[in-house]
This record gives sequence, structure tokens and C-alpha cells, in this order.
Amino acid sequence: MKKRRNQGWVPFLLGLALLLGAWLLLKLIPGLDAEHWRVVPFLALGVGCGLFGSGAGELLAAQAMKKHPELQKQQEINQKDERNVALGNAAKARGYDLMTFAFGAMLLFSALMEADLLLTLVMVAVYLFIQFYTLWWRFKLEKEM
Amino acid sequence: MKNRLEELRKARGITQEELAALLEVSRQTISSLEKGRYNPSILLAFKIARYFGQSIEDIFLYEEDAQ
Repeated sequence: MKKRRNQGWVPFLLGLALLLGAWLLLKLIPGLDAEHWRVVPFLALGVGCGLFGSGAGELLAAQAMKKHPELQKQQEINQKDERNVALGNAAKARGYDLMTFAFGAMLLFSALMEADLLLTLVMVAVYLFIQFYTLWWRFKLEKEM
Repeated sequence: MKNRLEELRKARGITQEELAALLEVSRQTISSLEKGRYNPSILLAFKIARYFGQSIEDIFLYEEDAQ
């Protein structure tokens, strides 16, 4: 339980710091109109909100679990349950297969539509990275199993 | 794969929830096992066999035609 609470504090505090940072950048620092800096406070605001929400959720869940240890035990069982793990992995595998197909189709359309070449190349690089990452895991698992 | 899990569990007079807690799996896993919809890992099969004091073959009935 201690580990869970510690995990929640890090994103909670980091999110809070980013939100404060974004507010400071927007309100207190004048001359933020420079093209390159305009996006920074909003980026900090977006990431900060996400981290703050996720951290607060973790902390609240840990607090609830503290009062009901039987719930925590059940949650741990559900997370480690081999059928749940198998279902999750099978669902992810199906999603990955579809993503590969959809990503390939998107690249094809991007090329046919003569979209920005740099953007298309970045997407191709990401697509290839995912494919090689899959292959890498395949070889790694072949050695282990 | 067919199995005698439901029969053995009822003979012991325990519920699916109680068996799930003893084996540290979810109740849904016990339910799926009993219905023959899910085949357990070898580790879970051993746990089940040990709990009921029987061999795996006595609980899980392998039928070659069904594969």
C-alpha cells in the first residue's frame, strides 16, 4: 500500500508544479508573445492537468483501499489473475493487428494525397519503429521460452 | 477441455468465490474453468490438483478429438 501511495504523490506534485508554472508563465511574465514561447504555458497546462488528475486519482484510490484492505486484496488478485492477463493480452494483440493495418492504410493515403513529405516520413519512421520493436520482442521471447 | 471442477467443488461444499480466494484467482476464472471455456495454465492446474488432493489428469479430462 505504501508503494501505491508513493506512486501517486509523484505525478500529483509534478502536475501541481506544472500547473503553477503555467499560471506563472501566463500571468506574471510579460512579453510571452514570441512565437516559440507561446505554446509552452499551454503545453505545461495540458501535461500538468493530466499528471495532477492521474496522481489525485491514485491517491484517492490508495486512501479508499486503506480503509478496505479486502478490496485491495481483491484488486491485486484481479490484476494478477491469469485469465484476466490472457484476455488483456489477446485484446491487445487484436488491437495491434488492426493498428498495423490502419497505420499502413493511413501511410498509403498520406502518400496518395501528397501530404507534407516530412510528416509522411515521420509516420513511416514511427511505423517501422513499432514493427522492429515487435520483431525485437519476438527474438527476445524466442530466447526466453 | 472438460473437467470435474464443479463436481469436486460442490463435494467440498464451497462456493466459487471461496475457491477463487483459496487459489488466488478471480471468481470469473473459476466460472470459466467449470464451464470448460478456459483452460488453466499448468501452474493453476497444479494448484487446483493439490487443493483437491488429486492428480491433474483426474480433474482435467483430455480428449484428443476435442483438440
